[in-house]
Amino acid sequence: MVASPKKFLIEKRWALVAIIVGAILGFGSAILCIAWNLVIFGFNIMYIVSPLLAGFVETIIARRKYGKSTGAISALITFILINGYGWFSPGYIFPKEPVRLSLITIIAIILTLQAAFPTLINYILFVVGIGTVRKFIEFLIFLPSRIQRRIPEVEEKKEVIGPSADEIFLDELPVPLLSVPPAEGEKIKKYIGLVGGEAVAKEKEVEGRVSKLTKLIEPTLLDDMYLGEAKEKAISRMLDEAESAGANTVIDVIVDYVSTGGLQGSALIVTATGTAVIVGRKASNLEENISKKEPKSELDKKTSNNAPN
Amino acid sequence: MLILTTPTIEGKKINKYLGLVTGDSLLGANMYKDMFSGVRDVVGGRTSKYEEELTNARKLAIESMQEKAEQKGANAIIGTRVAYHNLGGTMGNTIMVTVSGTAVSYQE
Repeated sequence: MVASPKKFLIEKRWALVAIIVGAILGFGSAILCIAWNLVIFGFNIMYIVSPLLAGFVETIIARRKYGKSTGAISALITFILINGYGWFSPGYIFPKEPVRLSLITIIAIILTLQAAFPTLINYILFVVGIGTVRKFIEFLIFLPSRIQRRIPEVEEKKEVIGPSADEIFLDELPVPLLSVPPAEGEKIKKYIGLVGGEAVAKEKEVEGRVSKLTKLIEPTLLDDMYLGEAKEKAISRMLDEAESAGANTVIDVIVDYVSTGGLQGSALIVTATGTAVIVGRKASNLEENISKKEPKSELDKKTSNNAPN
Repeated sequence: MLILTTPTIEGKKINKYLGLVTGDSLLGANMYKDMFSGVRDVVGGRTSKYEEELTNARKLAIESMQEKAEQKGANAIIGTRVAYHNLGGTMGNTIMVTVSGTAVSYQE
């Protein structure tokens, strides 16, 4: 892929300079640490300080000159160098200092690797690590019922009759929202423009320690998300934007859902977009509609003050 | 400039169709930032910061689309669609907002 080694070198010269300077500084600091015998808890601080220093200096130089991070390669080089020195050097410069496997050494290794390969190590830490812990908790929680050969109980769902609470407010609007282009019989007086609203659907807070643990392993249900509230919020925000621009309704409304999150959990984003317009069959009708803002603003207050409980 | 999601402008005549215009913006690519502020907001119930960012992202995308339409000499964009995509990945939480529409010039 590289056109020529020379061009590659010229392009990456600052990245290379950053790595080399970082590695030299890191190794230099390690030599100083040994020379001054900076030992804490029977352990030379160079194993932590030197890779961190190397990575820090490299990142600063790379950010300033190269434009982006190089991934703290020098931290890794320093780490390998000082460990190689500790294990294999004959010890003619300084007294030989063998690396012992301890908690601090392991933390230092993880820190260094994390600096060098952030994506990979984060994946291992957050996905593989947390996943393992989850499986373990799952095993512990269902162990009693497994011994008793009983299936954990599942609550029966109640049936919902009629429109859900979040859909009632749509009926209270003076002019109905439309999900289609202009309705027949209604005259559009003026187009205002594109309006939209977004809201993040919260997950329901779980009470109690045991249920918090079981929450980790249960599949997410529709009831666990405040989806209706988020939908109401998104539509209210869109309406607010439309009303502040002087429109009295929104046509061609599309409500959409996007899942987000990833490693840290899941959340749903609810979005509503549409075209704000002024409609009205008669001028008096329009005046009436605009003066009838009370119910909506009240509802909006209710939505924004809705504390999680 | 008039930006509409409807395919027509009622009562106005469209003189010329100037072609497709698009705009996009990204939101929240930094994992650490998300971990310590954005997602805590989401999990802890204070969602406003993330939602504000979303609104900003949409406005940025629309602005860039509007610029392109203005360069073409349009005075309206019709049939606009706003879409939100989750790019995911191990870093998580990267949302892409895309808008697309048709630039037109109509008789005012």
